[in-house]
Amino acid sequence: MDITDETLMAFADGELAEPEASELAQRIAADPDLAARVAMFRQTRDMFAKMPADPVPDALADRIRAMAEPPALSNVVPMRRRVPLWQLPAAAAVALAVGLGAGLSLVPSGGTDLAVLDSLPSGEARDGVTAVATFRIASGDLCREFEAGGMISVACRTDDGWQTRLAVATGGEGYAPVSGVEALDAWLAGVEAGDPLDPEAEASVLR
Amino acid sequence: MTDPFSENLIALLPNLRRFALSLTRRPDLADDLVQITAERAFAARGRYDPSVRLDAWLFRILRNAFIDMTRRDKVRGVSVDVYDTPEAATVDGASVTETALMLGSAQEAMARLPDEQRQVMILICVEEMSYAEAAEVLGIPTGTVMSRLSRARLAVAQMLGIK
Repeated sequence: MDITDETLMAFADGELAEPEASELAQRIAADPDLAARVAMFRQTRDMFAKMPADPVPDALADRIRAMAEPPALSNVVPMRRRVPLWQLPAAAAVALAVGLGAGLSLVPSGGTDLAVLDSLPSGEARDGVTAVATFRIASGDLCREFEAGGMISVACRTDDGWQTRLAVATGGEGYAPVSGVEALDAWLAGVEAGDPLDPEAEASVLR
Repeated sequence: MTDPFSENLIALLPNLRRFALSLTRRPDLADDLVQITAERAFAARGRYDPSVRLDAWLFRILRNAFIDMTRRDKVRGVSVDVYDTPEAATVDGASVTETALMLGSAQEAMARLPDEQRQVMILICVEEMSYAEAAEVLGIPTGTVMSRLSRARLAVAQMLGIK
């Protein structure tokens, strides 16, 4: 009937499962020696709880903060590329804000009819698609950034119609490998996306 | 321009360094370990599961980095026990308990523990991880965590005159 120190410690730490914990609690209540033992284990835990750690050397903290900065790639894309996103209607902007923590995924357009991109001016919505911007990439392809079905996407025009090249989910939560906007920026830098076309230039390439 | 992952990681740097010191006992190597840990964590952040405590995930990376380091014999043979004190506990038990166990005495007792015991003390009593989380970080069975932890607590209690 000996109770080991490890069992008493687990009890003191709240790590003992039921029904053992309840049974042990009764025995401890009736045995001052056991109670003192448990108190000792509690004390040797509580005295260290929240013990502050010494700060790290400044040089080390600075090196690690530098790692946390976005990669140099992000600097390739001027921030003005993002401006059209913020000119979206308020509801879309909120959806994007939610999406800042969302991950990147490469998915088909999920049933959205992209033909609407042929004629929908940026800033307008139709058939569940909100056009955001129009631009050309290094290959010369005409591409459009748009929002549909909870995704911010980029599609480019091909002989077979609009093909989705990138989609960033605007839902979800928690830690993402890279924020949606960063992923978009990284992709845009990779394809050397040009500046968004102004409304007149856009109208001339849309049908 | 930082994100929650980076901010949380940076906030944990002192904790990571304290754990690194418990492994290496050498500040310069501890700093190296923390830096390697941060590099690996940023590189692997896409594989971080948010349902796991971030500190436990980082501590595990740090411990693996430490194993890599020892494997390369960069620690063994050059290790200096900066906390090594030949004399046994000299703390006067009565006065310490009367003053509600000053932080300094608690830290001193901690520093005098054998490495393996100090590591489980840091993970469980200081960082407040569960036995299972500490076992995962250290790569040892939960039963081993418990036996080391109970021995450590008994030793601390003896050093500080806790009945």
